[in-house]
Amino acid sequence: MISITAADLSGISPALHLAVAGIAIMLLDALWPMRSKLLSVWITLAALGCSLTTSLHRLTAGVDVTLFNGAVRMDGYAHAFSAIICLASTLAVLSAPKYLRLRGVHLAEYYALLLFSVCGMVLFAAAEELIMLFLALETLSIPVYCLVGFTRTNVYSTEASMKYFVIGAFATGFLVYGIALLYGAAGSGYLVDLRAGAARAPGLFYAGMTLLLVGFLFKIGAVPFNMWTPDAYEGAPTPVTTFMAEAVKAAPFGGMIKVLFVGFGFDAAVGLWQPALVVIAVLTMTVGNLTALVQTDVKRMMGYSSIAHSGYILVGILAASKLQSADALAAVLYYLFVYVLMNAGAFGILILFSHKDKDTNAVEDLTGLARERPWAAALMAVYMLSLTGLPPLAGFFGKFYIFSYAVKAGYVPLVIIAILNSVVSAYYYLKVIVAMYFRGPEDTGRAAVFHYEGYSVFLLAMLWFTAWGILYYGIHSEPQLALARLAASSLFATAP
Amino acid sequence: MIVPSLLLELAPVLVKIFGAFFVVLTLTAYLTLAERKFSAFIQDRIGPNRVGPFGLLQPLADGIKFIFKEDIIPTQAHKLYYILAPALLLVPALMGYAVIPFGDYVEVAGRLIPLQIADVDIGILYVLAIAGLSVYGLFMAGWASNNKYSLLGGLRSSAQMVSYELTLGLSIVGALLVYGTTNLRDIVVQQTAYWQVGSILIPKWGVFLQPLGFLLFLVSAFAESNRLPFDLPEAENELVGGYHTEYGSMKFAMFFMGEYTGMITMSALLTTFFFGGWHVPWLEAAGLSRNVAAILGVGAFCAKTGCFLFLYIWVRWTLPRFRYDQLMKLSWKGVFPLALANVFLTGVCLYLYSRLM
Amino acid sequence: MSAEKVAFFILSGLTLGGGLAILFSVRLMRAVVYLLVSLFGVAGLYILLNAEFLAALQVLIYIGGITILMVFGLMLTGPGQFVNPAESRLKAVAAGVSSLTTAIVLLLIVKKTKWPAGTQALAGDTTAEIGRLLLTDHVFAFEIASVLLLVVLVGVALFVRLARDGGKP
Repeated sequence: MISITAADLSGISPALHLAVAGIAIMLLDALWPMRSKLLSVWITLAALGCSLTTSLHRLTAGVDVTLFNGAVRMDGYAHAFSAIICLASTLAVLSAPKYLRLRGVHLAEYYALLLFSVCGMVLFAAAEELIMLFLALETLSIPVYCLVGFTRTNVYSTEASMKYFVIGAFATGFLVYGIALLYGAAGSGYLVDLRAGAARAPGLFYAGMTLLLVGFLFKIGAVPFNMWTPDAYEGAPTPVTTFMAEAVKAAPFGGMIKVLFVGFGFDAAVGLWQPALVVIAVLTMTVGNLTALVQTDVKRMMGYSSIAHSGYILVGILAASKLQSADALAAVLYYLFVYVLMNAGAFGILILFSHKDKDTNAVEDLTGLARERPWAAALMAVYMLSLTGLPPLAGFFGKFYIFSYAVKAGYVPLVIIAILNSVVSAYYYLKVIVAMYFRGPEDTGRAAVFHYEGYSVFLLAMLWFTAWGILYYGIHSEPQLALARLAASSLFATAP
Repeated sequence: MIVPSLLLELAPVLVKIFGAFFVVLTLTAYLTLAERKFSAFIQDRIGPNRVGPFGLLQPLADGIKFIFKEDIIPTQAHKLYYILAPALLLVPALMGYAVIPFGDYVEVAGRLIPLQIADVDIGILYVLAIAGLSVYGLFMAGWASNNKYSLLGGLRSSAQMVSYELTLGLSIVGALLVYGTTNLRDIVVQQTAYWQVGSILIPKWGVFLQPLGFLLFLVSAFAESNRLPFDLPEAENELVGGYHTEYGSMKFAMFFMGEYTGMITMSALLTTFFFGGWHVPWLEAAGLSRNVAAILGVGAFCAKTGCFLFLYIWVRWTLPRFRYDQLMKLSWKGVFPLALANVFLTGVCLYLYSRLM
Repeated sequence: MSAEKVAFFILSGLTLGGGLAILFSVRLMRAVVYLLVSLFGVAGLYILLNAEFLAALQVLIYIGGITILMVFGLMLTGPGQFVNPAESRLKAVAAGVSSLTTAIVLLLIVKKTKWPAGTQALAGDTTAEIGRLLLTDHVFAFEIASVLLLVVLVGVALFVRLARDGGKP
């Protein structure tokens, strides 16, 4: 009896590249510690690149395979998520080497852990079964707990790691309990079989669904399960925050959307999750944005902003579930893609000016940046404006697509709240721009000196790519949307 | 009518339980004597020879002495755990013996009775799980005594036991791959087969199939029973007496009984796993009746176990103690990778074997 | 009442009682001992369900492994009481009410549910069956679990190393 075939391995190769590269880095570090640091950066980039191109290629080729006796399914949807996550991780990796070297923690383990985490993320969107889902989620979360505490001498970093770990483990507890109840109701762990449990054992099914949703909402940082986000974002080393804000943010949506659409479905009886998500979405957007208003620390502010963005994405998911159209889901995928670009860039600028002893985190630290470093300030302005959702930047189109589908789905009040929230968010994003352009040392009373402390070719490439992406993919969104549509329709092909 | 049939059902089990208890506890007592006699021999002394002929009643005298000693509980100790600890050490050590087969079937009044207290499918897992419990006795003794030396002993023992439990389990994975079962009786039965080399029959004992696995298991078994060269939890020249520094009278004796019972269980396990259990090689040819063969088998089992017990004592009085870092290094950098290699090699060999045959 | 039922009530009593005792004990050491009791109860329940393999693993891993780690922490931090200065009465009441509600809701659900699974015992050797499933249907989950464990190992080793070298590797 052969349980792993060559077809299985080739089908799963986007995840396999990453895991193998992670192990290769560990071995390299053990055998050749002198040269392993820079080499591991290149190995990581190569592995991510391989996964990215494989996923994109298979997405366009319409590959759709079920592997390992139905445990994993690499369809367009999984490949699209794999591509988004690999892109996000590449950007995060590019921002890391110099920052870590300056702080004396440039270790090969950083890249190995990151790769294992990305491997888990790829599998999370591909999982077809609850056990796989759980294992993938843990594989993506645990390395991040470690990465958050990577600068161990920094008290904040350790605190953030501890908090994130404890709350994350708590959330996982909910998830596992939910999985157990759902399995009890449906008698099977496969997502497609879950729906049958609703008729057979409704109480058990709904309890399981609630607990599972709570677990997911913890991971995406939705209100009221958001308390870990700002602390973890602020305490983590900035490259790790970058990784968390884009890859770790996007990945849980992969599994969540799949479980909601394929596992629970849209029937009136099963669709009980939709009203619950409406409430959560409103809370998430509003609380996230209002709290972000009063923040003075850019990293913390971005933490709250990421909560708010989770709310917008939830609106998109709701629209897609109501319309049951691939186009609406494609808008969500496109939004995730754009969100990755904007966040990576914003944190990249912070890394660029972070000193060895002190990170540039406060809004005040950026005062007068435009006078001294006009290019950097211009880039930051692009990211901030895109996060606000100003046309013609990509951030605008992301929000525009999501909101227009939500209107089409009849969620007009929800969209009004979302747009009001966007207006509120403009205040704190523009606060950064005001500090950079319209203020100077005379306002803060101390002269800020901006050195490119964190400069490296990697980071430069990352910054230009993200800025270009935001400018270009906003107007030329059609190819991206077409890919996203391809991905979304493959999910709807399996959904009821 | 129900009661007599129930009795008939229970009688052999009860007899076996009491028999095993009696043998193991007596053996424990006499092991202390053996230990002292052998150590005396190795150190060129005479050893205990005052009580009874050749000092044979010495364990009895020791026992009486322990019972009549004043039972002191330190005022600063955590009373409940302090009293609980020796029992927690002794009970798992005795429980482990429940699944080890000490003989083949005997026929009594037309019924076949297995010479084993409980024939369970998960046999070896049960023994490992139970063996892991004895660490609670050690740590609790160390903690409850409220004494720095005791605490250090308890700490050491926990770390040592956890590390070596891992290698203990991993070193028999190779053997489990070969046998394909975790049932200890099945494992012994499989070892009663032979290879034919020319006209010579070689028994298929585990030690020939898994020489590396046997060595690793032996090392881990020594460490797991806290015996020299791994007796760091009670290293007397560093820790006064380790976890049992504050113990006296019968409680102190119970720690010793736990240690010796653990040794017996480990020796019996070694015999079962690698030396064919009750199997007496080439006895089948003699054509003895079932009961005689079974009783001979029990004798063989005891003899083999005795050899390992002797090895325990021999090693104790011959080898010096490890340093603590050496102990950990041996576990994690020596035994552990070797055990993994053993699993891998066994897997490859089994695959090739299944392909070729 | 059959012997099995008696055993069930005793074991579930141990499990639940142990769990409750953990909640209400203020001494950490006691809490660990109660945890042991609870875990033993679960192992016993597994045996009652003919899942001997699971029972052995429960004892081997949870009692012989994980709880030992807690004990480690306990011994390294010294004896003491677990007192949370920030804990207020209001919080305790809120926690109690919410967990009681959850418990009652779950109980009602479990009571109402018509369980789809049969109650007959598994046929044959559960160890072999679990092994077969792990290497066929769940082979990928099995492999990913090894990646997960590797990650944990690397993470822990990393933290220890950073701690030992004072953050400077």
